[in-house]
Amino acid sequence: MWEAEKITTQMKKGILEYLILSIISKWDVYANDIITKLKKVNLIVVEWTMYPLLSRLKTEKLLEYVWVESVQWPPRKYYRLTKKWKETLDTMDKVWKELSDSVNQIVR
Amino acid sequence: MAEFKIQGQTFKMESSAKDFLEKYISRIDKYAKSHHISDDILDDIHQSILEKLFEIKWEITQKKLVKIVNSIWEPEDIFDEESLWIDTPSKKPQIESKYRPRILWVCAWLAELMNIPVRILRLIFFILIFTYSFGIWLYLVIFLIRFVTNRELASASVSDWVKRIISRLGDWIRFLWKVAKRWFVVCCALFLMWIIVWLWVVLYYLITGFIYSNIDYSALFPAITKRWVASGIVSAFIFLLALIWILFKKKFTNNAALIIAIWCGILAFVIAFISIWEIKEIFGNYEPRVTKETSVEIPKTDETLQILVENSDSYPNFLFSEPRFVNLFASDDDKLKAVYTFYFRNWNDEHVTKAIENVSDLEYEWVWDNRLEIKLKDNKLFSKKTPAVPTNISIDLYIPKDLEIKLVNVWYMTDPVEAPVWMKDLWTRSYHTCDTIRYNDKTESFYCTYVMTSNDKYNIAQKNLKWMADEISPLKWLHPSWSQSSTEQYWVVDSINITDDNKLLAKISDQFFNFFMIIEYTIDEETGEFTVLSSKLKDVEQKWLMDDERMKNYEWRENLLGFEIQMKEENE
Repeated sequence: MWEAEKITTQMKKGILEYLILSIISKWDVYANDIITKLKKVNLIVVEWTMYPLLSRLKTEKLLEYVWVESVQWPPRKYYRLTKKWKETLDTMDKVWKELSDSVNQIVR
Repeated sequence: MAEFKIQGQTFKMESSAKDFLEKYISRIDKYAKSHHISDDILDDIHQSILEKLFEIKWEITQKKLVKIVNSIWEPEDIFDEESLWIDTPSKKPQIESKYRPRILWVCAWLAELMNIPVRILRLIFFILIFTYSFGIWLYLVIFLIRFVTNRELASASVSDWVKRIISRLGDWIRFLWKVAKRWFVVCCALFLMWIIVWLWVVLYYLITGFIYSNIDYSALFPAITKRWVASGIVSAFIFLLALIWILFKKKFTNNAALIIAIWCGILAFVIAFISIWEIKEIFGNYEPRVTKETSVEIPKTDETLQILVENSDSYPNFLFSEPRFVNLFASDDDKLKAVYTFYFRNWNDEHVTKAIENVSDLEYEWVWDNRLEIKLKDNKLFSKKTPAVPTNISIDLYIPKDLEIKLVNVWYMTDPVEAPVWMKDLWTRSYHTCDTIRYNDKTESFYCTYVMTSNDKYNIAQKNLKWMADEISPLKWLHPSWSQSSTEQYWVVDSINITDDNKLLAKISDQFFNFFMIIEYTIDEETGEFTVLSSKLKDVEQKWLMDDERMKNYEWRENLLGFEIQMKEENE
């Protein structure tokens, strides 16, 4: 059971960056928005542990953020894709499609 | 309450909560520093904590922070990428409560469930220790409950039910505390109102007691404090009932609490007023009194018996000389009986006893054959040694029915004797008593045998003629609105002179004439009704020269025929 969990975790980790970038590509989001979106598709991610991932993506200049002020909430970091990743996201979409087709063929 | 700052935002929270949060964030910061975690990531963690605090910013307690921290985890887990997909915090060690439990953990456990500061619970239990050790027993019972629920010795549903009850109790306590904090000013105002009313009641009786008589203060204060305490207790009880009702109904608005507080304040005032009235009744009904009487044999005589009651000149204290009411009663006895009642207002029995001892017996003296004087023998009542003086003296005279009396120095009667109507009109004193009084068997009442004198007739005639001058005058003035005396009458009755019983000579004037009129009249001696039978011009006195123009202002000029009127020449 424990091994299955480990493998599952590794599988999820592999696509997490792609998922986060896909979510951010659609509109400017903050961390909790990403968590909520992933939860809706039954991918439960712990918020606190996502920050290092976001920080790394930012360091690699794949993401950038802006501070948004609000009356109801404290100022929030809203993430958006940089121009660099917008261009290559289409490529990643194709790769994912090919990969999922291949996996489905093997699994069936 | 303490202030905690994070990411430029300030939050108010319990001191224990602040300590807890500071230590937690310090652990994160230290771990991040030691493991070279970038400032960006640390900033994001702080930002996330800030957002969590924002959600509970109105009431940040240690318990809520423990929940938050348990959801965030310790730094080792936060920065462990293996934890990314672990969504069940139960797999990570829970952070223990930081309530620093003492003894048997009872207060800490209750504080955590109720979400109220633990020191309040410890204080409550400490106070309860002095209530016949009730606090100790309660502490032990709650310990047993905690032991059973925590060790899962009871079923889960029972444990949950117990924890829910305790948590609900905590909600009520916090609710009451919120109410109390919010309406603390109103509660203080209520208390202040009670204090003011109490002081007013006390001052009222201190002052009235000083004015009227000696007051036994030892009896006064218990009466007042009883009412004050009663009003406070009743009002507080109703306030408590109202709050319990609100709690069970779970409908609470700020306005409702204000309205309840105001009604309780009004109730306190009403109770205070009622208590004042009751105390007044007590004071009013408590009237020690002493009665002295004497009987006097009345010799057969046709003359009016003059009765002189106790002379007020003998009273050194003027305050107690006036209110001396005389009451007349008809008696079938041949003797005249006088009953003097002295009313005291004093709560000190010793004082009253001494005063009563000083009230001597009545004695009477025949000053003349028909003048009877009734008084106290060796009057010591108003001597300085007497601590209590009567506030009122009532004199009851039992008069034989066939006796005619005259009250010499009486000004006030409880039931004033019926006087003729015309007397009431003539006399200005509202309590006029007749000098001569007789008993009427038919009406079963005393009546005044006052006979109308010529002076009375004069007054009646003068009073009535004043309003009949225009009618009696031989000339009628054409402009009745012009009146020298600012009344409806133009002509003024200057003077009258009663010549005999049914005739009088009246001088009626305006600015030009004085008319001397012989007037025949009648006066009803019962009702005082004045009737003019006839009036005749006897003489005319001209004050100013007349001319035709002036005379045109008068009518009935023919009445002046035969009297020489000097007229002015035309164009003079």
